Amino acid sequence: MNEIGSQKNRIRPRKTTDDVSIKTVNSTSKVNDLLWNFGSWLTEEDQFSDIVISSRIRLARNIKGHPFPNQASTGDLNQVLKKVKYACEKCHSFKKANFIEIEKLSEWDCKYFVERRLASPQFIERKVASLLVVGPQESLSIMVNEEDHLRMQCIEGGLKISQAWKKIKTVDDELEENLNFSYSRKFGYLTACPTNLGTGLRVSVFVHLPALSMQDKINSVMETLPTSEIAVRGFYGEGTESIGNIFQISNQLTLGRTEESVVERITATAKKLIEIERKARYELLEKDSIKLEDIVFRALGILKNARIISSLESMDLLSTLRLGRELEFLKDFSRLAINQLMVLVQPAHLQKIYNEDLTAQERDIVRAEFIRENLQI
Amino acid sequence: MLCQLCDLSSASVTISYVINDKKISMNLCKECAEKKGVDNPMTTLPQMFGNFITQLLGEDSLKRSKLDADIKCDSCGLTWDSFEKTGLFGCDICYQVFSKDLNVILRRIHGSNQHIGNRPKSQRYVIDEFELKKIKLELQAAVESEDFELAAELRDMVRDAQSELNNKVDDGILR
Repeated sequence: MNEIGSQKNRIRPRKTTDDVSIKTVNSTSKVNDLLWNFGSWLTEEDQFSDIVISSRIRLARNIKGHPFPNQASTGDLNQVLKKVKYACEKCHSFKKANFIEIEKLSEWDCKYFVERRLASPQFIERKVASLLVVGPQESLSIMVNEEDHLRMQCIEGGLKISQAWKKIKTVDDELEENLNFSYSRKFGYLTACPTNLGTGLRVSVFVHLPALSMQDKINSVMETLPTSEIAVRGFYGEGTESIGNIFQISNQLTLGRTEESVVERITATAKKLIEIERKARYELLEKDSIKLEDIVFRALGILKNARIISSLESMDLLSTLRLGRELEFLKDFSRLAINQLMVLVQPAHLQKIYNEDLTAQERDIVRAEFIRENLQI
Repeated sequence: MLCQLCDLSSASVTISYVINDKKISMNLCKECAEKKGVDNPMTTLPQMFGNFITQLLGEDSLKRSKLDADIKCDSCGLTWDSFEKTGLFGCDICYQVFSKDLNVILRRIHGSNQHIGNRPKSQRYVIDEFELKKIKLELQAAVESEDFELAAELRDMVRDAQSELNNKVDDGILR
């Protein structure tokens, strides 16, 4: 498989360097610079990357004495923004950060950050006094003035929950040098929504479970997880099948639990799912290897030849390709390149790559073209 | 069935969420589901289910909270009624103003109403060994007299102090 975009689109699965230092990003050209610097979750892997795509930790914080964003005036929001920006500039972890003012971005640039998992759909909707702080390699980032004043996150490739927790805790402590967080001894960190109260911590792991899906075992496996503690989300399209067989496992509870116990809990759950999915893959291979191989090569056939393809269909086929790569049917394919392709075929990314205002139909055509170019061996 | 949001198109997507073993759900049409960002990993619970608080509260507490509908936070102007609709508080002070109904909600959501996790650096204690012994005795007394609020506070102090003494270097993690 070629390195991604080796032809006209200069896309390569490259590692980012830390030497990019842009102070304020508010123009499309700067956003384009970010486009080709894939975050660490798309360039790094570990021994669980056959199943775990990424690990994400999020902390919610508010600043004392300022109303939460839902009750705040534009003036309040701007004050918060100023304080957070100052604190970030003083913070070692954000020394080379990009400060992105959502208000100054085009619609597609906003959507691009959502696809890149750096912003939520609600965050880009409000726009006024919304700031996105993105650290080197997109690993650490902060949404300022989303549902809470600060939503900091750390995303890493593979199953790296405890590393991500250490990183985000350092940021939390560093920011606290200059910010006075809303905190109560009884309730912990105060958040706009009581479902985040206490630690403000949400730990998520994104797992790729194609074999369990093929065996129709997703529901029965998920039912064994304790629903009071753990939330499972599939990303659904029009039907009931989840998009690309990717599921998000995260903690539900933030009060009356320590951060460490949540980190341990989600890590253990992820490891259990990894074991079950690996077993399912092995069973499929044992039972009907040729059928599986057929499914994988059919997916490859469509991806390499289609002239029109929707983002939903491409996600599903890329998911099958990813399985084929893990089962060694497709030895020449790089796992990271497939992961990156799953991100790049989304609408706003394509829009940016082709740098044109495309209709949905035109996008389906360029998506097919883009995939064909990148899957040539 | 019509979409619960727009009341216009027929609902084709059901989102359900289980909070502490209580299932809440919502039926939406495709457009509203997309608008809500249900397929986005970063969409949060209140962003998806504005009124989930109402669904979480049982009949009894819901009746009681009806009486509180007009209670208002002087600091940010939020009423209990609007909290029930959005699931969001407006400021730190809301947590004091609405504390009466909050305990029920927190127990429903988290099964707990006491934070035991990390805390800001400024709230971490530094205590020497002599003081620690004294606090441990006070803790014992508080437990015996069933003053659990005081006991919880003392327990935190003991935990912090012990972590400091054990590590000498404060790594910020409270065990």
